[in-house]
Amino acid sequence: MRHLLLILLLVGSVLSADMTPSLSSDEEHSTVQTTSTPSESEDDAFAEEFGDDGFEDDAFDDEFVVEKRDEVFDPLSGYNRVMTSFNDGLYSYVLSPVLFKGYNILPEQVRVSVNNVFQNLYYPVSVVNNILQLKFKYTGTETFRFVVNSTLGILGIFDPASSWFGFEAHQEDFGQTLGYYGVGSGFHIVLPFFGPTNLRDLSGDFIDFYVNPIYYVDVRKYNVVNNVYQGWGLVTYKEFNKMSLYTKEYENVRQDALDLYPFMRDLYEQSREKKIKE
Amino acid sequence: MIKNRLLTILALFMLLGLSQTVMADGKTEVETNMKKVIGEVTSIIQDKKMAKSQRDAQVDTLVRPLFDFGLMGRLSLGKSAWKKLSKEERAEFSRLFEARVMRSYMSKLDLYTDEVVIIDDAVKVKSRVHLPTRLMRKNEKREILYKFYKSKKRGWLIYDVDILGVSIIQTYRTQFAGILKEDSFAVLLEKLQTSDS
Repeated sequence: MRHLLLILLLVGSVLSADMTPSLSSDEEHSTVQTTSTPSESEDDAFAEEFGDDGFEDDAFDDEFVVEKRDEVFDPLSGYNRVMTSFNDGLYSYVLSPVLFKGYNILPEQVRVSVNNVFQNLYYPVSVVNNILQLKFKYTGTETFRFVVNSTLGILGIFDPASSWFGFEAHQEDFGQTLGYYGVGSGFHIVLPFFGPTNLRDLSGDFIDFYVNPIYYVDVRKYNVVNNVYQGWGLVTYKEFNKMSLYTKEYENVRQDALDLYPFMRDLYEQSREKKIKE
Repeated sequence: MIKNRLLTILALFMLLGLSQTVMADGKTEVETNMKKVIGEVTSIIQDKKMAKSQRDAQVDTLVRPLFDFGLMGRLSLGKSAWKKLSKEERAEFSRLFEARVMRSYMSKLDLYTDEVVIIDDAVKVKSRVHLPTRLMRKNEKREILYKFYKSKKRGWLIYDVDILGVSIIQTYRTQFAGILKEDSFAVLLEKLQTSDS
């Protein structure tokens, strides 16, 4: 009998703990919608803080660890800041009003095709890095894409591999390969014109040049271009053309920054981390 | 007597089990609600004849209740910075933060052309629910991840959004921490108000 009572008590306590929130949530649901007036938002912020909606739930802190990113190792921050402003100025005063304005007379479809050709030529880099990361499925799809787009897609101008066969691009570079094997990003570096990168990814780019057809490598037997200058010219043109497709997006997202340099740095580093995880 | 009680306990246990399975699964709730809202928002922004102000107002009423702006603001500022603020400062910060995030969201609608939103299956991550979506345009795909938590008062609410792997809250956190370190809270409030940095 005593045991039974004990069990009952236990069950009762568990139940009440479980039921109260669900009951109150229904009850308060109607009141919340009416309390969004500014006069009561003060109290709201307070009530929530002492409730469990805010910081009392420590699980949120694991997701956004301050130390991890806010104290990011950034020895070049002074230079990077200046270069970020320079690039922004270059965009606002030269690229956007002059160069893109002229260049964008070309229809978007043409610029997309130019970009497609460049993406297709990136195949050797992508396939090597997919193999290095043991991603054999993507090695296969990238190869399929290259074959189909080079032939049916007329030297990569079109992307039938994706639009007809549903094989999406999965490009990998050496920076990602390094990241895949646990190499940290190193410090952040902002390049003139090319924008944000980091020590790992920049080193990766230079490695990738050895198999990148649009760049000139002296030790390589076959080169599309005749010298290093033409190589850089093509690399720059590729970026310029790609950027011309995303001017609206860039201008829009740029408005979201309170402080441009850390904002752009975060965008770059976080999206790279995501790509490495994939 | 004892038999009766045992039966009651059994019934209670069953109820408990049932209520937990219903409550634990926020996935379907989040999915159905978001499908509805995203569908409605898409049909509003596809209507090119509608005036911008009218469009914004309609989208606003649909979207604003989905977010917990108070929590988002506090997470962006960080625990230690938040604790140092007075009641008035907190209210002012929360107000400006909400306005800024909504403004940023609304400006993104201007970029819309003919994208199709694909909503994938929600994923349960500990006590939270993540809803992956894809914005498809021709051969391009953009991933947007909505992160929900269960609030006691208002059910499942968004506390962060990852766009192409970039967490909005994390970008605010880094910027806020930098501004507070170099400048002051007053400067932060000022920057929240201006739309250009």
